[in-house]
Amino acid sequence: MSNIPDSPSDLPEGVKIFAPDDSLRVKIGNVNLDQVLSPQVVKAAQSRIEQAADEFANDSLEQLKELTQVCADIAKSPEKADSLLPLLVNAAFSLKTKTGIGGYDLVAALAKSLQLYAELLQGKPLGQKNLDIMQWHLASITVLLTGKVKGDGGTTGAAIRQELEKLSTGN
Amino acid sequence: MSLQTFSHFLNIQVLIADDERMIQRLVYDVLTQLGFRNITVASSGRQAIEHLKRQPFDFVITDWRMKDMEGIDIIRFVRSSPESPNPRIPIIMLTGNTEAHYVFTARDAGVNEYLIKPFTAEQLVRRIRAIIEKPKAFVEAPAYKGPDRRHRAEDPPQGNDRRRSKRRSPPK
Repeated sequence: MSNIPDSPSDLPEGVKIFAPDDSLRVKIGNVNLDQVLSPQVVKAAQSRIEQAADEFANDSLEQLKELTQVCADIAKSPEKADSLLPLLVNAAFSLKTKTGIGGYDLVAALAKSLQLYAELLQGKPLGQKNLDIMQWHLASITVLLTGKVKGDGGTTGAAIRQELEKLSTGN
Repeated sequence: MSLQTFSHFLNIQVLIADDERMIQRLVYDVLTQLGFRNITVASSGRQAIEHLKRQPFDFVITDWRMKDMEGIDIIRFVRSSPESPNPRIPIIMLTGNTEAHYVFTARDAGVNEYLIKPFTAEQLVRRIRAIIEKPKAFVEAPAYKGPDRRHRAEDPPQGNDRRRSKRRSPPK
């Protein structure tokens, strides 16, 4: 049985449903998109992404400097965590995106772990253990990125991720 | 790129909103490679809103996390603001936000498609084809404005049509 009303009178009060807008389709015309967006065209577009990977990897090193600076600022002035943690979240998030595109999957995973950890800490007083966990993330990211360790790092990468996750979540 | 691709997407106006220059360029390059030519890039959420007010677009690709105004607020503006020139414009959210609660929030704000960075060309093409080939009905309700989020749950066909697709030819 359909859960979509068949006529406007079946709709709840204040609800209007408009027919799908096919203006985009009309504008493009009656063409076969399998041909217009053929595997060759998609492949050529994908090669643009792959060409950009190195640029993203290089830019990630700049992002790492920012992340390192924020971590240093937090370690120096943990009482300013309220204003510094959002910067850490943003820097880790940005690093995650760039390293992900750059092919540094393990670094991206660790940056995400740091981002989520920093999000969890917002609004709470920071202790030494919190600072240590941030530093361990940063140290791992630095080693992997400066060592140009691409991919997921295999079993070693999985072990590093697991260990940092254990430390971050306390499990 | 073929001439055919060039001609078919020539009149499609696309707006990209992202405050990361490298991502802007990457999305622009990929769209260009796919055959799009009328691409406007906004470097901030507010700039995207200004573009949307000034000229019509056929679809929008927006980042979520931007410094001055988040992509989710662009969607809310487009769908619900009295100043929005076209509440029904298709919007693709291209973001590094991978957690499920972000996806639900974007859906509730009225996003059409959600794509996670890093993305492949094929994933982007799939999202673009979805808004072209499978446009959804548009819902205006007191608590929601956006593409129809419901999935039609249908009973299996009755009578002779029942399980027709799985019926095999009898062995000879």
